[in-house]
Amino acid sequence: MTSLQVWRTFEPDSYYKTFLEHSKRPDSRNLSSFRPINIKVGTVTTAEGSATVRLGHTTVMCGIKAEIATPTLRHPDEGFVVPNVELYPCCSPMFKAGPPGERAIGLSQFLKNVITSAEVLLPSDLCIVPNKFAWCLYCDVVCLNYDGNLYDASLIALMAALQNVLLPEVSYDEESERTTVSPEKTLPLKLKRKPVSSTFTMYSESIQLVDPTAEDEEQGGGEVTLVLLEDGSLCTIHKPGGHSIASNFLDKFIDLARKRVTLVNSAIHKAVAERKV
Amino acid sequence: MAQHACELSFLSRSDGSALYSIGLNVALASVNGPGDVKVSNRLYNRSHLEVCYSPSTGHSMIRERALESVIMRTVEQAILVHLHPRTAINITIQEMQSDGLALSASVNAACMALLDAGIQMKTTFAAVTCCITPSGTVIIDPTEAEIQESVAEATFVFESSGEASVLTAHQDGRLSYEDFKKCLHHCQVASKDVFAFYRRMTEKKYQNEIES
Repeated sequence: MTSLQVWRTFEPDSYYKTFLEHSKRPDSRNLSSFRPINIKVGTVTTAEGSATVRLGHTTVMCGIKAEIATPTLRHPDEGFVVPNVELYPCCSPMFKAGPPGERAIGLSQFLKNVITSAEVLLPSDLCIVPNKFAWCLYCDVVCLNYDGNLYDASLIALMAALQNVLLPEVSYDEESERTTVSPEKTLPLKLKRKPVSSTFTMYSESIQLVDPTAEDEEQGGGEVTLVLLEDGSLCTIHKPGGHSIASNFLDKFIDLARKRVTLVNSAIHKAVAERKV
Repeated sequence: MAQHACELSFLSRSDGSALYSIGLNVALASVNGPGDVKVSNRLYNRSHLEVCYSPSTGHSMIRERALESVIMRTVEQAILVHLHPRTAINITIQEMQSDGLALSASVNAACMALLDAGIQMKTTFAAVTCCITPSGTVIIDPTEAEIQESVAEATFVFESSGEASVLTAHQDGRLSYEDFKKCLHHCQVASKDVFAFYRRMTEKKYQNEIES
């Protein structure tokens, strides 16, 4: 073991702090740069839509299965989108086997909030026959390798998978009450908006790190996630506790976050276009 | 701002409890601790925090579990957890009535219950919810109906220090960054009233003890 590795193992706090004093991180990024994104869509052939996203070492896969369900009585012409995030023990020693923990549930709720807030797709677009049949999209997001920033990675995976979904045409004959599903005729989803999130972790009062790795998250005192839409408006802000921060905390990040929206959306667009070819 | 009301030591068997209401939203918080903790949750240098949130109707689903997580991380910043190693502090919140401000009422009830239990905190915290109408007006402590009509809704939890720094923030709906800052500013101003209310309530409690 080199002396640098010894230092990293036995004194992780001071090792990390020394990097920050030079405004750098152990992975040689500076404090406001993002990791490169790698997106592939259609990776799960048995699912209606899927995508695998890599954000540095963080790998997240999203698979969307569509099922026909009965709409609720209160909203008879609306379908459902059900995001579910699973953090298996294979991705990090932090997670144990068993029912979803606090982190997985927080992520699932975050994805649900973003889809509803941004109105990514209209629930009425998922309706086949009011009161009888509607599509229910089960979006399973699985983390394969955890290296921080699951908020951004899961949202990118979910949005890319949604743009890859092809739903078969369903026709319903009222007289004979027969439903016919034609798997050859498939239609993509109509997405109204494409939200993109940017996360940063608060190390101290004055130091914030954008796109944290697992080490950054462990050293820091909580994350803040901003979700923006293509027109630059805010869709969701998520700061669940963690270190307190001054009220002008977002001024620094709003511009970075806006640039990221165009970058991520064009990366997803490119990946989806590649798949069609 | 809606009418805030609070009754401390509402439950006789808890270490601390508070029945807190904001308008028609009522939440009951009960705090027990620092006390026994399971071996699996025992931490050598700090107390283990557990929050249990029960909705007014229905079973506890993913939404309630997510709220528990947010409340736990907020409270963790306020309580001096390192004073009580190898113990657990349990906070149970029962949503009695909800008119759109469930999170605010619960967070404020938790703060008052912690004060009532006498658990050492480095700061008190106050939650304020606001919504912004399509015409751009900011309404503090809106009703459920006002939230449905609004464009966006935001909840902030502030610390009671001078600059009222933000402990927790949650925003839903679409709005511009300038409107977001407007909401944040209005909520910050309203939080001063909430802290003044906490002060009045605790003074009232100790007033009775001194006199009797």
